[in-house]
Amino acid sequence: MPVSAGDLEGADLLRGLSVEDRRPFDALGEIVVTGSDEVLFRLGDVAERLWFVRRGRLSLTMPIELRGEQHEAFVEEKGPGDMVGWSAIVPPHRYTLTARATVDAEMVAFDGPAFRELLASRPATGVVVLSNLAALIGHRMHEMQAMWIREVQRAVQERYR
Amino acid sequence: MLAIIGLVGMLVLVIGLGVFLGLAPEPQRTRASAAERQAAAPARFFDPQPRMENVFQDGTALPMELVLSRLERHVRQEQAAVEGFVLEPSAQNLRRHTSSPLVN
Repeated sequence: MPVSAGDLEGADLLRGLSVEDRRPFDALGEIVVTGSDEVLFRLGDVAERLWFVRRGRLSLTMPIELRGEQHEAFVEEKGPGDMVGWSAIVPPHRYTLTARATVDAEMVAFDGPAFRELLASRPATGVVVLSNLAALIGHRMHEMQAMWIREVQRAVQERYR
Repeated sequence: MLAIIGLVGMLVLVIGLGVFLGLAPEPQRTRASAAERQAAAPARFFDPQPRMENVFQDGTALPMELVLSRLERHVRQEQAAVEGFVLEPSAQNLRRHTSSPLVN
């Protein structure tokens, strides 16, 4: 299903772009409806698409081994306005998490290479989008750093108390 | 004479290092119970004793769904706890308390 004007309203990666600047992205996107528990992409897959959540919720997970079996450990939840699958625009273009819809969801999917081509062909737009991307990646990095050092702090205090 | 002094010095150094690393035996010190140690432990930004058990009281293992659900709750609580740090980085904001059932 093609994307209509306004479907990308609120997309965090397109924040700061005018309606006019967002229009080329409308032409690139495709609306995809996913059922609950449906997997959008898996860790390690070639990142061919970038996804914008319009409705519903996604769970991002990483594998964890428990009792000798591999399970998916929760990492982050995404909802309306969030974009997932940045790996489609960041080398080496392989997903680093698994994304699964936790309820019925409506997404806008973008072809990764076409998205990158659009950014390259419109440098001013590209700067805005990549600045938004840098902010998102920075936020996740700071969050993960803080969570990691808290776990290290606990391990150290437990071991050396 | 010099060799003896050297040997004694080395012995003192090894014992000192062992005590520092916690390797030396503690014959005189009786080990405190877990409860005593917990009571005496300084306040931390997490519970010193894990409240998440791997098994029910009758010894049966927790269902994996429950373990994963607790893991998810832990991650969500940790994310909430570090949100203040992400917005305003400081050592204080890094050590916010959480009631997460997982501590390590």
